[in-house]
Amino acid sequence: MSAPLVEISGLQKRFDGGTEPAIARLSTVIQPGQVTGLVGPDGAGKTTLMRLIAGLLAPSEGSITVCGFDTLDNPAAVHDVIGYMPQRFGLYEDLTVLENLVLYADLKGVVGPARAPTFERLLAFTDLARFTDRLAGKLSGGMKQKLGLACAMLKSPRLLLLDEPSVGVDPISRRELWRMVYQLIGEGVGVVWSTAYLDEAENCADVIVLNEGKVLYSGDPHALTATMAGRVFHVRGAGPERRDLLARAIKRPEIVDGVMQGEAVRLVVAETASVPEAAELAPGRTVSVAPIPPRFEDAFVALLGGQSKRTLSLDGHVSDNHDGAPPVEAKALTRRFGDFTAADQISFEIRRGEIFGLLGPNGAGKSTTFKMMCGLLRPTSGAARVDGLDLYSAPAAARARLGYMAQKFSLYGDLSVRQNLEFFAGAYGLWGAKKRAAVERVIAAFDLDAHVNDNAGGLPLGFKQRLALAAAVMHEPPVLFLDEPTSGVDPLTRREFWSFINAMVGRGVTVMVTTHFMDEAEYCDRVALISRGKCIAIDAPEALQASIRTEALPNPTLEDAFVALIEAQDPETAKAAA
Amino acid sequence: MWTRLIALIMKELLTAFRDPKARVALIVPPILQLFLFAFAATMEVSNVPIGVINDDWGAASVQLISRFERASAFSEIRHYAGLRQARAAIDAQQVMAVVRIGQDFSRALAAGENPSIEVLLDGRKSNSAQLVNNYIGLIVNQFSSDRRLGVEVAAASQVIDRSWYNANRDYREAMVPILIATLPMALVMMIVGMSVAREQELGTFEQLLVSPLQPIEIVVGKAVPGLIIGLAQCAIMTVIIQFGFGIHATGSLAVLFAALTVFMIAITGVALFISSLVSNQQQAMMGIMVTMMPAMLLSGFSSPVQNMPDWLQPLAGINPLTHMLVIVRGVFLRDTPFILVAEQIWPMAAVAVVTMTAAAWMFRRKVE
Repeated sequence: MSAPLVEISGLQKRFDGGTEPAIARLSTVIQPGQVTGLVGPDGAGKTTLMRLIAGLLAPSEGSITVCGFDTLDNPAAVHDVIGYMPQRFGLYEDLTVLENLVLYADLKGVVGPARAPTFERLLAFTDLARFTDRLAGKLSGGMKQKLGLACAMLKSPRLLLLDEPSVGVDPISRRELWRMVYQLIGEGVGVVWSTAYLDEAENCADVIVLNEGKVLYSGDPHALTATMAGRVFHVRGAGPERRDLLARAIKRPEIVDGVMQGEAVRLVVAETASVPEAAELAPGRTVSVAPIPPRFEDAFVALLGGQSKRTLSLDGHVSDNHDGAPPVEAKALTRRFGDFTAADQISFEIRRGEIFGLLGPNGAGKSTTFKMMCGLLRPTSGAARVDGLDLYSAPAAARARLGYMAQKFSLYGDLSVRQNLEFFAGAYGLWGAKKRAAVERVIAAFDLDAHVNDNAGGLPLGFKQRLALAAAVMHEPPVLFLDEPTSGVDPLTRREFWSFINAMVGRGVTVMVTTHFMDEAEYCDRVALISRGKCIAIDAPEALQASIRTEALPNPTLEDAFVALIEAQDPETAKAAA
Repeated sequence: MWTRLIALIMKELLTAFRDPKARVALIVPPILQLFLFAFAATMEVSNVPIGVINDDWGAASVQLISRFERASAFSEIRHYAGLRQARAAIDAQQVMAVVRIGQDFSRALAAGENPSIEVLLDGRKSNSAQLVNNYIGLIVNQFSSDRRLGVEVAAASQVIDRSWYNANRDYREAMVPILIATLPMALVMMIVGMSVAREQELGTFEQLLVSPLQPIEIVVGKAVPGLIIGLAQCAIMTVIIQFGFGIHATGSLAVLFAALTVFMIAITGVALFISSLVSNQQQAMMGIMVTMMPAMLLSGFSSPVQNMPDWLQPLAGINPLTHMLVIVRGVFLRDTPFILVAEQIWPMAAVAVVTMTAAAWMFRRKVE
C-alpha cells in the first residue's frame, strides 16, 4: 500500500470556553484511492476535523500532515493539494454556473491554457455542461452539490474533503455523487466523506466513527457491521399495532434500537440478550420474529449506547369534528408557473391516523404540492382540504386544524423556549388559562424543562427539533405536516423524533411528511411518489418494493424502488443519472 | 383575532428588546446622534480664523483690525504680507476669508473719502463664507459710521433686524427639535422595514403564514410595535431636548404627539410597503436608504421647501416628514394653534392611509 495521504497523531482541539475538547486524542491515517467515511451524530466534531485537515483551524495539540506537509507549518502547500467542499459551499447564487467556475478558477490560479480543458473535463464529469448559463441559485440541491464538487476539484486535488455532501439531495442525485466519487478514487484521489446518513458509511472503505470528539471506531465498516450478526430481527404481523409494538419494545432493557421498516419493525437486541419472545412483544397477537442481516446503522446506534428510551407522554385522543371527511385531501391539485406545470392533477386522500409520505426527486413538484397543501401557495386549479375545510376558501379555520413543521428550524432564535411556545399558542388563538395549560403540557410532554428559559437559537439540535414539534402541536391539531423533518439530523435524534411522531399517530393524529430520506419513508403507511409534476404511484412502501422485485434484485430496498419507478416514468432523468 | 394580534405584537416587542445588544442598539445610537447633531452640525460661524493683508500703515487700519480681533466670530487674525501668501492660506483652507486693506485707506478716510476694502472668500464653503462676509461687512460698517460721528454727513437709513420666534437666532434652538421627528423616523423605518425580510430569511415567515393569522393581522402586528417603539423614542427625545438642552416648546406637547402619532403611522406604512416588496434584508436595507435620503432632502430639513423648483414641490408635499417638520418647528418655536397644525396633519394622514392599504394589499399578494 502506498504512503498515507493524511497522518493525524495525537490530535486535540479545544475551543475557547469549551470544557470538553471538540476533538480528543485522535490518531489515524487516511489512505489515497479510497473513500474514508467520517460518521457521527450532530456535534460530534466531523466538521471540526475536516477544517483541521484542511488547515483552516490550528490543532491545540498534536499534528496533521497532508501529503507530507504539516498543516500548521505549511498551510499554503496543504491548500494546494486538497479540495474542500464545506457543508454550505460558497456558491454565488446570483452568478451562473460558469461564472462561479470562472471565479473559483481565478481564485485558485487555474488560468491560461490549463483552464479550458479543466472546465471541459469538470463540466462533463458533473454533467453540468447543459446548465452553464443557469444561475447557481436556481439549481436543485443535487446540482448545487455537483457544482460545489466541480469548484473543489478545479486544481485536481490529491485529497478531497466533502462535508456532508448528501444533505438535501434526492436519492438519484445522491447515487450520482457517489458514482462521481468512485470515479475519482479510481484516479488515485483520496476522499473524506462526512455524513449522518449511515447507509453511506457502507460505501466507504474505511470509517471513522466520532462521538463528542472521541473516536468510537476506526476501520472497515463491514467488520463493524459483522459484529452485530444475530442481534437484528424483523418483527412482522403486528399490522396497525406495529407502532405500539415499537414503542413498547424500545422501552425494554434488552432492546437497544428499534425502527419501522414498512410493515416490519426492526429491532436490535443488546449484546448478551437472547432472541426477543414474540409473545412478550405483542401480547394477544401472533407476530413472527425472524433474524435479518445487520447493517452499519445497527452497529452505529449500538456503539452510541442505543436509542433514547423516552417517549412522548401525551394522553387523550384528538377530536375529529368533521366526521366523514378525510383529514387531508388533495383534489386534482394543479399549479402552473407561466407555461411550466409544476404540479399536474395531483390527487390523494389521507386516512385518519395515517403517516403519508410525499417522495420525489428535487424539482419534481413535491415541494409545490406540499406548499399547496399547507396553504402557502394557491393552486391554479383543484382543491386542498384539511378536515373537509378548503385551505383557500376557509383559510383561518383550515389552518387552525393543521400543525406545520418547516424543514429549516424556523422558530425565533432570540426568544426563549417558553416565549416561542407562548407566541405560537397565541398565534393559534389560545388565551389565558388555556394558553398556560397548553404551554405547560408541551413543556412536560417534550421534556423541555431544562432549557425553558434558554434562547431557542442556542439549543442543541435534538432540543430544537423537539421545540419545533412542540410548537407545531401546541394547539392539538388533528393533522400534522412535516417538511423534511430530519434532513441532516443524526440517527439518534431522528429516532427520538419519530418516536414522538409515532406517539402522536397513536393518538389519532394524521401526518403528512415530505422526505428525501428512505429511512424516513419507511415509517410511512403509504407514500406518494411524485415525478415531473405527476403523482406516479401511491402505495405502501413494501408494495412499492414488491412491484419492482425481479430475479436480479430479489430484495429491493425502498431506494431501489424509488429510483426504478422514477426511471420508468422518466427515461430522461434516468439517462442523466446513468 | 385579538388574541392572535396581541401574541404577534408581544413577540415583536420581545424580539426587539430581549437581546441586550439589540436593546443598546435601539437606545444609544439615536441619543448619540441627538448630541452629535446638536453640537457638531452647527451652521453658525464662530471661532474661525480670518486673514488680513494690510498694505496701509495708518492708524485707521490698525483700529479696524483691532475690531476684527475683538469680534467673537473670529478666533484669530492672521497677517499676510501679500496676495500670494493669502492665496496659499485659502488654498490650504487655513482661513475662509482674507480682508485686504488698500494702501491709501487711512489717507482717504482722513480726507473724508470713502475707501473700499477688498474681501477674498473661499467659495468652496459658500454658506459659511457668506456668513463670514456678513460679519466683516457689519464690522466695517460699524467702524465707518463710528468714524463719521461728529462729521457732518447725512445719515444713511439704518437697518435693524430682529428675528421673531428665535430672538437670539440660536441655531440650536431651530435645529434640535427637528430631531424629534427625524431620528425616530430612521429607527422605525429600520425596525419595520427589516423585520419582515428577516423573518423571511429565517423561515419563520412561512410559519406565520400557515398559522391562522390573516395577512391583515400580520400587517397590523408588524406596524404596532414599530409605532410603539417610535413614539417612545420621540418621547425620550422630547424629554432630553426640554430638560437637557433647555429648549422648551412654546406650544402644546399634546398637539405635537398627536401629530407625531399620525406621522409614525405614515412612516410605518412606507416601511411595511418596502418590506413587502423585498425578499431579503439586503434589499430591505437598500429600499430604506433609497427612500430615506430623498425624504430627508425634500423635507426642508436643511434647505427650505419654498426654495425648491416648482416641479419638486409636489413631491415634498407628499413627504410626511415635510409636514412633520413644519409642525415640530411650529410647536417648539411659535406656539402654532391647533387649526394650523391640523392643516399639516391631514396630508400625513392621507399618506398613512395610502401606504398602509398598499402594504396590506402587497402582503396579500405575497401570501398567495
